[in-house]
Amino acid sequence: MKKELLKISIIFFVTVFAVVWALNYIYFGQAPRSKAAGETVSLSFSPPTVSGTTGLTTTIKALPSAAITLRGYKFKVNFDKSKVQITNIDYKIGTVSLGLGDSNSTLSSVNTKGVIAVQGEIYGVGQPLTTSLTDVVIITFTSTTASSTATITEGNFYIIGADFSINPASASASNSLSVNGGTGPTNTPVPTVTPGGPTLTPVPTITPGGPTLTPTPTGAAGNVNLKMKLKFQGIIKKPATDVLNKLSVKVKLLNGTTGQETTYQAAEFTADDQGIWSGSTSFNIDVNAKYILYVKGPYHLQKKICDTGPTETTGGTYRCTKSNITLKNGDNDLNFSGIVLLAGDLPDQDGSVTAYDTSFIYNNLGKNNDKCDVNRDGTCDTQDFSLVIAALSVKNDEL
Amino acid sequence: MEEKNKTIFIYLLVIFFAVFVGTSIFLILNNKKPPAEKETIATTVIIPTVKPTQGLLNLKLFGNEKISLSGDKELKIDLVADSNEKNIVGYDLVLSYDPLAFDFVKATSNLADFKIYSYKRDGYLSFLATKTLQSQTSSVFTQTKIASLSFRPMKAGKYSFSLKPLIGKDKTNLVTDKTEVLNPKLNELEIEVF
Repeated sequence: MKKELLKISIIFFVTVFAVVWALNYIYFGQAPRSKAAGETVSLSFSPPTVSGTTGLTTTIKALPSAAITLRGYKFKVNFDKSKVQITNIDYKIGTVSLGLGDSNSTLSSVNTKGVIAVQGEIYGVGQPLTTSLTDVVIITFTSTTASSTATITEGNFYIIGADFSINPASASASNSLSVNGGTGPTNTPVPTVTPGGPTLTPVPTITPGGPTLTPTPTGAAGNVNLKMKLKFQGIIKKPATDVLNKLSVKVKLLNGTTGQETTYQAAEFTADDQGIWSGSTSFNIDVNAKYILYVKGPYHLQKKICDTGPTETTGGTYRCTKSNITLKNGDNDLNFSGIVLLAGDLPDQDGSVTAYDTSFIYNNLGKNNDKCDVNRDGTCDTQDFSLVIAALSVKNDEL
Repeated sequence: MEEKNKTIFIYLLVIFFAVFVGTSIFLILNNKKPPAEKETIATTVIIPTVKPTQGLLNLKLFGNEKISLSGDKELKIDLVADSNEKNIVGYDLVLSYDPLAFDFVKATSNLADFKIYSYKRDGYLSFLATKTLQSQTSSVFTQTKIASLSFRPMKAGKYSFSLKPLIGKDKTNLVTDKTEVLNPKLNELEIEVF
């Protein structure tokens, strides 16, 4: 009987082991388990303290506990809507999840609720993140003179595991953002008032039937005034009428040291007999830093300019990466007419030359439609079409 | 005989019990998270982008589902479109693919009065096609093969080519002669390289 019991016990344990092993093999095979489980992501504001009232910028950075491949992310940024108003949300990892994440198209809702729902996604194979700080989103805002705090809550990062499954990793804030409204930017020298010095930012003039522009915030007069000369593709002489001889151009600056961007300022440009366009705008910035300047014309792709006197041998081929532009308080003469701003991104602009842009000209050939009169000759014609086709060598805004 | 049957019965009973216990252990060990949570996560991550325009409006990928790595064989994928009886004068396309598995060779317009421009991006391709100014004909697409894309396979395996409504600044749409922007229904194609 004892022998019988021993036999049954052995059969029992062998069977149990075999069943457990078989089920484990069938369901999990040799595939490695996802390494995503247990990962965390730390989110932080950089800089954590911002002073001033307009053009304030902070970057939310992510620091994973281990190297990960990111598929998407979402978290919320809470701010005091009575003291802070968001003016720009710039996703640096992937793109905003349309309909779910907040972007510049939902700013009014963001400022009404006092919450930014940051939600982005990365298509394809995902984006690898190392264990160093990575920019997730750059937020630009204005503040009243009172102080306030912004915080990050409800965070999740979605990680692609080794077995290609998607797993959530909880994200938590390591700091909060203090906004010292109205105390003025740190280390910003007092503007020197020179004769005929800083001019107020011009408000874009919308002429009847003129170009439709995306509204851009126009801040107060800054300590630095940029007097720029530009050359636009396809315009080789002064347009025939005053109405045609006006272009509203958007300009912004990127501080090469801090990585902070200003908001776009609008400037009105007029052309001389040689087709060189002049205009000015001002910014309130730190003059000790070096800058990259971004210029976007009303029918044009955005141009990234890093040098004070850029040149190129073929129109539209100038490229740069390093910030070399130094600015001083007061007037700064910047001659960018050695390079050409390519046309193609017609109103309403979306940062890219698309089939909408080419089709708009195609459908309005011979008509007096200002929206596609790229070369400012008063007619939307085959020349405008050809200019846009030529800009397809670049297609998207330079970032 | 009766004794033998009794032994077999006990053995079967033990096996049944062992399977029961084994399954229980397996389920307990692996049921760390409720399945409902996983579904919620998947729903959160798969994000809708652009709502397709109503009507018969499609952009479909067609091609061989299998291709050999040997020789200089190229994978040809055709783009077939329906334009809901609208006259199309331009279109944009975004095609996601694995650039490590396929080398994009060229895009050819199958319509003589359309010129296609292609752009290699990070993990996807962007195309823009525009009607030539000389064209006098209407371009209503009804299961029309509008373009062909050629790829050279580089790695064995199963891969997906997928038309996307939007990636970054690049988008997929059709534009009519009234400058109306249409968002077609899109599909994806599974290709096996052996």
